[in-house]
Amino acid sequence: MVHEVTLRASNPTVQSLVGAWLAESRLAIPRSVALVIDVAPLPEPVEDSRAVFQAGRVAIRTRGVTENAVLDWGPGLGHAVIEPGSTKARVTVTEAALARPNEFLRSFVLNVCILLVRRVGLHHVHGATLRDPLDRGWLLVGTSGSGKSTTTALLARHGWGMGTDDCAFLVTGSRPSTTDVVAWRERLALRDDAHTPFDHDGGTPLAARGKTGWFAEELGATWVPRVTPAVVGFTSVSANGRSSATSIRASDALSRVMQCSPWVALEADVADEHLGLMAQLVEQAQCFRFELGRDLFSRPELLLELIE
Amino acid sequence: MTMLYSRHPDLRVTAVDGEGVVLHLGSRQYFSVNETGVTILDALKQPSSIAELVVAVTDHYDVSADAAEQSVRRFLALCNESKLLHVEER
Repeated sequence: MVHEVTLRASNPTVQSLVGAWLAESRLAIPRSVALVIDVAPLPEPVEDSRAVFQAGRVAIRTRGVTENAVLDWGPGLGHAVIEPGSTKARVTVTEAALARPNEFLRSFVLNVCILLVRRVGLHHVHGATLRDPLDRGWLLVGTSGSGKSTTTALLARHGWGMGTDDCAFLVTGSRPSTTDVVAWRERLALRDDAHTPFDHDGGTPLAARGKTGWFAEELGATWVPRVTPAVVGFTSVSANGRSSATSIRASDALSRVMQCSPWVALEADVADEHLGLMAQLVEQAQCFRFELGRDLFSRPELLLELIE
Repeated sequence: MTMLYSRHPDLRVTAVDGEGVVLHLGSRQYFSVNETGVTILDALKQPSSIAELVVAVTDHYDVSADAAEQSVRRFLALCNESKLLHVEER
């Protein structure tokens, strides 16, 4: 049985918009979670003294799954509540919010989904997932602008399988004592002014983001929904144009994964599970600091040579 | 009167390859600690005096009690600065 993020929206436009986006994500989860979305004026704000976790323009207040989680997208655009122990989020958005579909989906609803799927064992990390020609799983972790997407696009064009260029989830592995990484499927997005090793023909313009996007298949790659990483790389752009790989200690790798998976500190009662998955990940994989240069454009196989 | 030290309840310590990363869920800060730090933090699961922490270190490492005490005091001071400890009197 396929489990998914189920959706019930009172507004047909929202049902269609969010429904298509969720269907596209093909997120595999161990049991279903639910989104219920209404378009209506937001409820009156309630005093809430809990610490705020700020994700872009979304303010998140939660201390654990045994109390409610509240997300506010603002000012005055959206409000969501997940009741204690529940895997259902009740979301309210205003008419004005619907004029910003990209932010509505990729910031507000995505953050609601990230919190929901934590309750069924998926823990978000900013990372790209790939499968190399030797059938090994890769996770490239890094902040925006660190070269993840360009490198993922390049490798996808050269025979690697790809899952995502940014939105991934740590889960208990399908083999004993492993952590797997599940991809949220969406278009790999490159800035229109980005220097890339290929032209942007065939991509879909993502006007609101100033980017062009491709699904894996549009890059000639196979979409890979899940990998067991044997290589974890922390990416940055090389200043001198030359690529390099430096092996790093597991504890250093753990700190770096935490930096790109800040939800770990959000809810005490699931933090142990999240930390356990991270620790397993950095122990099962070879961990590297990658400086990514333009020499990869002409010789993508260099990345494999650098880790040998 | 003896001071007893224990880990703040919001602290999570994850050890990999002997070293560790400490996450404070309240402040959302995290820190790397060395192998000795992991040993002391492990002992701090229970309220412990400095003398008890010194024993925990000398049980694990071939160091003198004086050197271990210096390490323990230094480590506790660092932890205190970052509000990682609960301190009580016995």
